[in-house]
Amino acid sequence: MSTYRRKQIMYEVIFVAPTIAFFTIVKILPMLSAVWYSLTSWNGISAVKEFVGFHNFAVLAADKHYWYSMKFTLMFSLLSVVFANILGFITAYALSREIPGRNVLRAAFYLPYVLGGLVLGFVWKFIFLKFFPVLHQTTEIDLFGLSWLGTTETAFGAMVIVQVWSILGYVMLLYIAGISVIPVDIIESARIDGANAIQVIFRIILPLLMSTITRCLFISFLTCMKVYDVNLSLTDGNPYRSSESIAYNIYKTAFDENAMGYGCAKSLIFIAVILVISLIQVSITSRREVQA
Amino acid sequence: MNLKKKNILLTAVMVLMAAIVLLPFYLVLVNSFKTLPEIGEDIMSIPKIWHVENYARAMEKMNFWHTMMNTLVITFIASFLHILFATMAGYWLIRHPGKLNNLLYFLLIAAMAVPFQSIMIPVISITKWFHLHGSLLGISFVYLGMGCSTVVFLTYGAVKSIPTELEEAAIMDGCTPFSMYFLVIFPLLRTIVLTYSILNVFWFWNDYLTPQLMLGTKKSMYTMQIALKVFSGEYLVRWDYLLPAVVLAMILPVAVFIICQRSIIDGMVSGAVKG
Repeated sequence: MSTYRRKQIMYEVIFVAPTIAFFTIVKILPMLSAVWYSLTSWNGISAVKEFVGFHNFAVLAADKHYWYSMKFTLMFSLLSVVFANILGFITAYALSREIPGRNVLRAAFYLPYVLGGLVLGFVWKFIFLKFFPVLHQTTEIDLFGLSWLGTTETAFGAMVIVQVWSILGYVMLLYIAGISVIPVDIIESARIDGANAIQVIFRIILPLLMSTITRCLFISFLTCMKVYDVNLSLTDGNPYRSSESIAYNIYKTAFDENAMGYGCAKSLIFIAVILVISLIQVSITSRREVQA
Repeated sequence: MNLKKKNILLTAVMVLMAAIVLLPFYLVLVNSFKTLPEIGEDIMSIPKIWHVENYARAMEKMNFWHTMMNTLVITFIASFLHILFATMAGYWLIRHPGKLNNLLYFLLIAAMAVPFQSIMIPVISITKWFHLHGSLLGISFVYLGMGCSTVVFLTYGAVKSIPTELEEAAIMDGCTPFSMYFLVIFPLLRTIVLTYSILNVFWFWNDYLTPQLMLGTKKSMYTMQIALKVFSGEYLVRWDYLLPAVVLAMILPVAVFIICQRSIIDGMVSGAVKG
C-alpha cells in the first residue's frame, strides 16, 4: 500500500470514525437488534432471548390497545398537520409582507417551538383546567365549558390544539423561506394582468411553493407521529387509556410491562406505517412541483 | 381599500393571533407568583403581592442549581461533540465520495426518518453494553449518535458552496487535510454551525425521553425536564407549586431565544432555502 493511500485512510478514520462509531451504536445496531428482538420473548432482564418466530406479530394483530393508539396517533397527526400547515401558510404569507413589527411577530409565533413537550403540556393543562372555566363564565361560550381533559373526544382535541400551537411557528418559518425565493416580478406581472389576491395565492404562490409544501408536510407529520412528552404531561393517556400515542403505548409495553420483544414488534410496525405514509405523501406532492 | 389600509388590517389580525399564541405564557407567568386561592379568584390579573417564595420552594424541591448544572453540562458537552466531530465527518463524506462514504452518507440521511421512539428499546440495552448509561458524558455521546444526521445534512449545503480551488490551494501550500479543515473550511462553516448549535441547545435542554432512559432514577442525575416531571407527580393539583417549576424549566430556552432570535430566525429561513 502506498504512503498516500495509507495517509488517506488515516484521515478518513480521523474525520469520520468518531461520528460513525456513535451513529452505529445509537442508530444502526438498534435498528438491526429491533428486528431480532421482535422475534423473541425477551423481557429486558433475562440473559436468554427465546426465539418465538412471528408470535409477537400474531399477538399484535389482535392487540386492541395498540391499534387504537395507532388510529389515535394517525388522526391526531392528520388534523395537526392540516391545521398547522394552513395556519402556518397564512401567517407566513402575512408576515412576508412589509408590515410593522414583522420580526417581533415572527418571533412570537415561533416561541412555543423552542420549548419542550413536557413544559407545553403542563402549560396547557393549566389553561384547560383553570383558565377555560373562567372564560366560560365570562363569555358564556359553550366551547370553553367542556371538560377538556375529561372525555375521549375532547382529550383528543386538546392534544391537537397543543400540537398545532407548538409547531405552527416552525412550519411558518419554512413557508416564509419558500415565499422569499419566489421572484417578485412573477407576482407583479400577474397583478398587472388583473389577477386578484386570491388568484395570486392559488394560481401562483401555492404551485411555486410545492417543494416547500412537500417538505413541511413531511416534517410536521413525522413530528406529530412521534408525540410523547405532550401526551405524558397533558393527558397521561387518560381518560381510560383513550389518548395514548403510539410512542406512549410502546413505552408502557417495554418499560412498565417489561415486554421488550413485543415492544420491538410494535416499534417495527410503527416505523413501517411512518415510512409508507411518508413515501406516499412525498410522491404525491412532489409530482406537483413546478419551476418558476 | 388601498395598500396601506390593507397592511394595517393585516397587522391587527396578526397581532391578535400572536397575542393568542402568547397568552398561555402570560397566564403561567403571572399565576406562578400567586397563592392557590388567588389563582382561583382572579386568573387574569397581575399579582397584588408577588409571592417569590413560590419560586424558592420550587427551586428547593427540584434541587434547582444541581439540576441546572447537570443540564448545562450535557448541553455543553453534546453541543461541543456535534461541532467538533459531526461537522468534520459531514465535510469529509461530501468531499471524498466513494463507495463507502456514499453508503455512510445515505445511511445517515435515511436514519433521520426513523424516530428515536421506535428504537428506544434496543438503544437502552446496547448503550448499557457500551457503558454509556448513568453518566452525563455517556448521554452526550448518545446525543452525538442521534444528532449527527441533521448536522451532516446541514453541512452538505454549506460545504457545496465552498469552491474546491480553495482546498487545492491550501494543500499546495503544504497544509495537511487536518489543518486545512480547521484553518480554512471550519471558519467558513460558522453560520451553519451557529444555526444548528442553537437548535441543538433547545433539543438537549428540552429532551425528556433520552435522559429518562439513559440516566436512571438517581436524584443526583436529574436534568431539568426530569426534575419537573418528578415534581409534577408529587404536586399534581398544587398549581402554586407546579407553575413556578414550569417557568424554571423554560427559563433557559426562552432566554436563549430572546437573545438570539434574529440569528435563529434568519438562519432557519436561509438554511431552509439552501437545504
